[in-house]
Amino acid sequence: MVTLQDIHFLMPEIVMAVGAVIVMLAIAVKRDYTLSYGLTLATFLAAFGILVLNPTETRPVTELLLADPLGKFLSGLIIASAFIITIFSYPYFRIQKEVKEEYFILLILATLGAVLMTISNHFISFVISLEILSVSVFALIGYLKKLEISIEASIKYLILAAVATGFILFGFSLIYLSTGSMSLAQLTQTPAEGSFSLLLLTGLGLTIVGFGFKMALVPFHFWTPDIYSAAPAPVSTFVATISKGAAFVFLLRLFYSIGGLNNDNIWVVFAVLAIASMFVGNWLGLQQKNLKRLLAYSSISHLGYLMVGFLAFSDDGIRSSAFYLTAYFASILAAFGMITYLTSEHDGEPYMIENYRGLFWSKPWLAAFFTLVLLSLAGIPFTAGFMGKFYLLSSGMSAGKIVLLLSLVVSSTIGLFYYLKVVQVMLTRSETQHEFYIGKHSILMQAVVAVLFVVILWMGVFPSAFLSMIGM
Amino acid sequence: MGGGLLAWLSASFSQSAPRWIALLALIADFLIVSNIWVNQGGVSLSAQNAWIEDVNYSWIPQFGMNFHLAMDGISLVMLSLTFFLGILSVLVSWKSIQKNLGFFHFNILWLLAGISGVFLAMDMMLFYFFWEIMLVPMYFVMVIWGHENSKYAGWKFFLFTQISGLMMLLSILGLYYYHGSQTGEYTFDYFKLLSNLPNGSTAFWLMCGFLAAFLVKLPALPFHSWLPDAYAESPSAGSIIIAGLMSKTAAYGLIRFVVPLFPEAAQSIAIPAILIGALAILYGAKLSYAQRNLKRLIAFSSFSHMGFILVGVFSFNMLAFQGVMMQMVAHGLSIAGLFIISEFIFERTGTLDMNEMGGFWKNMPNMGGFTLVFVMASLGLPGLANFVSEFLTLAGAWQYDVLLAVLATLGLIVSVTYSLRILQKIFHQSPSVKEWTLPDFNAREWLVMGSLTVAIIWLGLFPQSVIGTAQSAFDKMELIQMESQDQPQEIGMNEILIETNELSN
Repeated sequence: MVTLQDIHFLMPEIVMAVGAVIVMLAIAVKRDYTLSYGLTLATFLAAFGILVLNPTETRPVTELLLADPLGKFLSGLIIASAFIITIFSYPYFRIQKEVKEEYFILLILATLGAVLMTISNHFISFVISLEILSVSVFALIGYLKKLEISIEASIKYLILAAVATGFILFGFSLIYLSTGSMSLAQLTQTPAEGSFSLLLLTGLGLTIVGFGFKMALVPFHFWTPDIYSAAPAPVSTFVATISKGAAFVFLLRLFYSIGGLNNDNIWVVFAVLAIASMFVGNWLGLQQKNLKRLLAYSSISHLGYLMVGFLAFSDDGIRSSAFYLTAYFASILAAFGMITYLTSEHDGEPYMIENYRGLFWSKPWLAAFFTLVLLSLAGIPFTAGFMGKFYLLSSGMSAGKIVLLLSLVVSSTIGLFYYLKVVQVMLTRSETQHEFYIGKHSILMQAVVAVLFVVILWMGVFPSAFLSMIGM
Repeated sequence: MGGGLLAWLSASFSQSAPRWIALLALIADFLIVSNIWVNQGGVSLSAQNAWIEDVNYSWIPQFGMNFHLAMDGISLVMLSLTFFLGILSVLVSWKSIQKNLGFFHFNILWLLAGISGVFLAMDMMLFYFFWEIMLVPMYFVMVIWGHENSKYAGWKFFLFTQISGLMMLLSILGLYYYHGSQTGEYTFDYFKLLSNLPNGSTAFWLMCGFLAAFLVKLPALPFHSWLPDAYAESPSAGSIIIAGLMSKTAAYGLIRFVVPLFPEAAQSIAIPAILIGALAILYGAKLSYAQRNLKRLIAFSSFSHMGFILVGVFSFNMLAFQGVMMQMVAHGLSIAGLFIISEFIFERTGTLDMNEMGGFWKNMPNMGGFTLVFVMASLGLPGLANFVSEFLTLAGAWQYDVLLAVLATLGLIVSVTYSLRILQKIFHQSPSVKEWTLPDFNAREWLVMGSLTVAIIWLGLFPQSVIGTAQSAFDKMELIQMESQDQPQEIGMNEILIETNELSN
């Protein structure tokens, strides 16, 4: 039965669902881009406020959902990121010649799906939230429907996502067949230590394939660069952060509850995926001239790093993953935010690295910001990215997974190459002037950039506050 | 101290006269440090507690990280060197750096802040942070203001040091968990970690992480490929700092961390390490002799001299440690002198190719005279600082292993060849390409070179000032080391201690 307390807990999600409807109705009454933008911002703000005010507790909410600190922290992270993406989207879509009001509905719905996924405690709720998320994301990717490349990316994502969902569903059904349960809470008790039937293993293996696709782990990563580069920059941001983060959380819950990492085979599979992602991601990033593709490969490698925390299989591992996700979200938001910021009506998105030539001399502050972001992605001390990596290393070290740690270290050094390449391009002098870009007129966007700047530095230098937020 | 420095830095970023601010900040720092030296140097010699200053704040309590800075004799000497060379490098770039002054001095100051932080940090994480802070500004200095091929050099430098730094991070973490699992207290504090040392293969692998960082930065023999590019392509202020100070942070790390934290493991690799050091001395000298580019020549000579540090550290006795200490200071001064001269020549002629130079003595007798001093210093002429340090190091190494010491000593002979070649090529041989008519030193250049020369001669004649200051710190370290080892050592530490004291009195 749903109690009043449960409704309290679910308020952020309800607010978002209602918000989507309100925006839709508002569009029906009067088509106004700014209005629907304002309503969307208000929705996210309200949802975030309620979420923060809700008490932090650990209890099941109905059979399908679960209230716990991890879910709360990540929901907050996702809603805050969605808020920032909304701010980035507004000036970006204003210059597009499309019907653009509905974009925000899709954004809210996709966020709703992601938030639900982080608090799911049951296969059913997971699949439903996954579908809410994915269907909205198909539409978002292809939103600029006059661009053929956008449509192509959308269809690519649609087909691959459907296949992945198929794998997940089939895996789930095999798990159900062998354990007789679809609730994570009950799965905890089912398999005795270390004894996994072949059926259960197969089921888990199939889900790994599905999740591997959702999180773009190597070798399921082929879609990422295409979709990142073809989708509008704010949508790429969404796919890179929110949808990956949410999938990761459920993966964590599933395998931690079922104890799958106790099984050597499964552990090795994940370790191989993680190491392959780190190396392949960083390796392929080296050759990129397209900044969006570069960030795609960078995000592949980051998810690989993230798996180190996952594989530590401890409370520390969960916390370090949560911290790393925060750092990763902040850095990727900032990086794609930068692309959005410098988009101009005339030239479109500055997606080539070449477009940033000489930025350091024409726009020193922006370039300093972007340098910081890249250094954070590379994991240089005094940035959020370093603290995140440090925490991952430390949790991996306490679990004694030296091979993973060494590959993290080596591959992140490979990654340094291409981050530095971008920095060097910015440092090279050139006559290119960066005059007309949308960030110039958006005070909100400038504020967000400033906030991200502070957050990345703050997390890098004084992470204490963030650490206590994730329950240390 | 270090904190005050950081505050200075942020202020200097956007000022219109960053040069003066940078200069004044550094002079202020230098004065503070010399003040400490004058006031406390004598006292701390006899005191049991070798720590002159100690600052400790909580930083990230969840991880047991503290903002812990402490200063002993070694740090004090190194800090003075840091600020002294800092002042010089600002003075040297007075004319040659004209673009983006604010950003340049911002980077230089950050760089120096990182270096002085490394010399002070007593929390392993803080040490790592300072270690890494040095990288980014150095990279910028190299890439923006460097010579034509500086991008490649900056890249190489950054990658080498970054990956080795991460190896060290892993080791630091390993130490942290080792200590935590043994005592239940998770901390990065140097002194607490010292109280509970790992042994056996754990110690060996952890040490390897530290060694990776220090040997790359030093650089030691197989890891030196970033060096010629980085040294030669940086602007001179960068070269001075990287050769005079950054390589010293590695030497400092070896003395401060590797030897006390992993005494047994360090003993076990002593012979190969000394061998590497000795080979580096010879190989560096040979490479140096083959260079046409003045800066590359100096770079390889620096590489060669760093071999002495390796030899000294792994000889494990007081004499050699003192030699290393002296070597850090003396080499810092002499290499700075040589780089400054190369900068002055470059400013005048626009080239660093020695084949195009020649006959400079006619026009610039003053510069020639100063060059002579530094060339002599670098080849180890008695009376100059480098002689003292090399002599002490070799004497220490002799006690440890005669054969290797002899090998290292050969390096001294070879160094004569390339050092004299500088002088001969630039100042004496008849000009091959064209006749140069060049102005001699102006007042600023006199000031820079004069102060360096005074320092180097003074240290050559009265090395006691450095040796005495560092003595108490070394005593303390030896004590710790002996306490941590229950079984008797193969080297008679006490005998050597007494011997050194006699020598230094």
